[in-house]
Formats: sequence, structure tokens, C-alpha cells
Amino acid sequence: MLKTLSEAKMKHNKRKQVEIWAIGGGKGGTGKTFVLSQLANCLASKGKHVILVDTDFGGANLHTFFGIKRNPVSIMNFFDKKVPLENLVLETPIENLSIIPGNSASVSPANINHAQKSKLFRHIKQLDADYVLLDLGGGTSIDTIDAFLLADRLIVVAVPEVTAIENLFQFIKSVFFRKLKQLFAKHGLKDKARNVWLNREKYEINGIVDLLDYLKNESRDLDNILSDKLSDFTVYIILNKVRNVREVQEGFSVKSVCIKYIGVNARYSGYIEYDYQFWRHLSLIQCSPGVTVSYSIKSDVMKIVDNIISGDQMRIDSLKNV
Amino acid sequence: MIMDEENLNKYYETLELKPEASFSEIKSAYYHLKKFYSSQSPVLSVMMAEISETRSEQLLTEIEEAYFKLKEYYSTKKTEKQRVTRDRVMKKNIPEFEVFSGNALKLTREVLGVRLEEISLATGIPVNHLKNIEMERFDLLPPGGYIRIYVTKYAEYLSLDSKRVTTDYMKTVNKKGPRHDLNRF
Repeated sequence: MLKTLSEAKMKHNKRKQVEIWAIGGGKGGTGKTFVLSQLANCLASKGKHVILVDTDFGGANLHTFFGIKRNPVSIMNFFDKKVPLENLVLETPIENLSIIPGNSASVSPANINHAQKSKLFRHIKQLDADYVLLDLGGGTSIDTIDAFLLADRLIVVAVPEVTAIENLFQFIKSVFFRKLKQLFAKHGLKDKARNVWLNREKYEINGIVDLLDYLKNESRDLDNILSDKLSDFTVYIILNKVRNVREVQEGFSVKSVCIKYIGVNARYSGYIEYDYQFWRHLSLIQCSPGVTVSYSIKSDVMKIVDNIISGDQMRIDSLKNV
Repeated sequence: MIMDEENLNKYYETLELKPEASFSEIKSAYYHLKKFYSSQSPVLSVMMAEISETRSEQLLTEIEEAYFKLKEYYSTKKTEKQRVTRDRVMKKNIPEFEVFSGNALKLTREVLGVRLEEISLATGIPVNHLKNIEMERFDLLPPGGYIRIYVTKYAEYLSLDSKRVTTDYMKTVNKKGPRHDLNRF
């Protein structure tokens, strides 16, 4: 009897293999939370069960996008009251879409230790949904990066401005370096990457690409580990608030720099147009969730979701006649 | 020249494309990357410190090399494809015609199993023009000089004697087609 029960449970787990998407991007104000809410809307309208988790511990605002003014629960209850994560899921007026809101009432920034964090990540992976979308804060704090690396699909959002793109590169670099360190730690080479990096002048290493080349040349094992484990490490780039075609093209440049200067696989999944009317009415939309924001934004988002799911990207010759 | 697979994949990688990429994609990617990496774009300047100067110069050479090698590869692939079509033509029994009319062209094409879209892709002639040539609807076609070029290309694609086909066809055009009377002004 016991065996069949556990078997049934295993089957259940297998059926609901949750896919985690994380949305980050370094700079604040690029529209990470907005893009996340739109992607979630799109997935939910396809009939997928979606749970959004606000992992922006210091500046949660995801609930505002869904018209929740006073959070009855928050992710902090998981830490200080040991409430199971399933009980913190709030239904939204949108079908198939629920959220775990973050803490907005706290007067001091949250301090979460490593054990708490890994417990949270473990529980997020066991949530009962098709997709779990993580909303991350700006900056490159270790909490943000760890939460980002938890995901199956790593999505970054930037606006076509130099400062945002610079921060985006810093973010991707930090994420990639953290990933490298984790990878080496798994293979008993804990301080390898760090040591080489600290002595980088000696080895004539300028950046992370040189570091990778150096490590690959050093030994066959490292080469195998790197090419094996990093091949599926892909960053999906979304440009937000794009005003003209030149800015659309900037996405290809950003992707190229990621590939050639940082050494990560990158895909340019799409862009969202700047909609003047929409930004004027943003406050209104936030109070009425599920409203079709703007048809151009909606179609942009649909393309992005399709691209992320299928692994396709923007075609560079689609902008030829400009 | 046959290029080994490994090199080919490397070239696609340099241009950040999948091996399924079309030639127009390759071209666009090349022009974009070349322009971007030789410019003083702010997107690039924020990453200046990341790689050495020699490496960034090397990048440009790599992009250049990848494009020209792929261009070569695509053109050999194209001639290869044309050769295959010609072989296909040789193997089939093409009916003999006294005079090449639109109908004769159509019959030959159908015997060879070639679709109009295929010809249109290879020659750049719109499908409706090809259709009108076969049906001899001269009033819907552009003036005679154009028809002559279209028919030549059409015949060349089917590996027919293009000179003979064109002369035959133009005779019909002159007989039945609308007069473009230049003296009326």
C-alpha cells in the first residue's frame, strides 16, 4: 500500500514538471516586473497554470501589478512563521494565474541566510504549476544572482540605453562567474576560478572570455566540464521600451557582445515597443489586472513567449529594409 | 570545394547563426557585426576593458573570413543544385515540339516535375508572370523586351535551348500580342 502511494506521488511529480523562468537584468526601472506580468498573462491565456513569485526581497512590488493593495500573506511568512509555500499562493482575478507576493510592509530590508534561501529554492521547485516565474530586484547582490541561477530559463530585460546595457553586462558577468564557481565546486575545484581570476595579471587575462580560454587550455577535464555543462547555459534577452528600429537592432549588438566578450550563449528573444499611451495609463492598468494593455505590446509579448519556449530568436534579416 | 563540417559550424558560430540560416540572414548578420565591431558604439565601449586589443581586431578578421567562406559555400551549393536539376532533365523524356508555344513550355515543365514557385525562386520572376507566359496572356504581361528575358530565363532553368525557345515564343508574341505603338504620340 505504502509503495503504491509513493509511486502515485512520483507519477504526480513527474507529470507536473515545473519550469522556472527568472527575470532579472541589473538595472532598476527597465520594466522587469512589467515584462514578467505580461509574460505570465500570455502563458496563462494559453491555459498554462502560472505562479509568480516575488523574490525581490528588498523592494517587492509585483502585487501592485495585480491590484493587490494589502498583502494578506507574503513570502516573509515562509521564513518567520514557517508557513508552507503552497499556503502563500494568492489567486488573482486572471484565470490560471496566482502569485506569491513579497513583503511590502517591512520597515527594514530582509536578511535571509543561506540555509533559508536554499530551503525556499527547494520549495519553489516543488510548487504545483506549469510555470513558476521569479521576479528579481535590480543590482547584482548574491541573493538576486542565486535566485536567478535557480531558473531553467534565464531572462534578462534591458532598455536601449547605455547605462542599462552596461548594468546588464555586469549582471550577466556576475551570474556567469557565479555559475562557473558553482560548477567547479561540484567537481572539487572550489577555488580554481577564483584563484585564476585573482592572479589574472600574471596570466594576461583581461576578461571572462580569456579566463574561460585559459581554463579550457589548462586541462582536458576542465575543457570537458566547461563545454559539457555550459552548453545549455543560455541567456534570453528582451529589450523593453524600444522606440525605433535602430534600438531594435541594438538587441543584436547586445547579444553579440554577450557571446563574444562574455562567452555565454545568448538569444535575442524580442523587444517590446514603447507605447506612449500605455505609460500614461500605467497606474490605471495596475488597478485593473487582466486588461489588454495595448495590442502592439500584446503581440510583442506573444512573440517573445513563443521564442523563449521554442528557443528561436529574432531574425537579423527581418530588419533589412530600414 | 567541399568544406568540412567542423569549419562550417565555426563560421556559423562566428556570425551567431544556426546552420539552417538562409543566405540573406548570413549577409545581414555579417554587415551588422562588421559595422558594429568597427564602430565606436557605446554598447561596445562599456566592455572595452574585457578583451585585449589584438583579440578585438582578430574578431573582425574572423567575421570577415566566416562571411566569405560561407558565401563561397553557398554559391557552390547553388551550382550543385542547378546541376541536379540538369541531371533530372537529362533523365526524363522531354516531348519534342515543332514550335515552342506557352503550352509547350507548360507541358515540358510538367513532364520534368518542376513547380512554378521553384522557377520563380531561382529566376526572380513573379509566379503570375510565369503563369501568364504559359497561358499566353500577353495583355497582362509587360512589354515584349521583358517577355523575351523572362522566357530566356524560364527556358534556361528547364535546360532547353533558350535561343530557339525565345525566337519561337517571340514570334507568337509579335503576332498575337498588343501593339505598343510608339507613333501615336
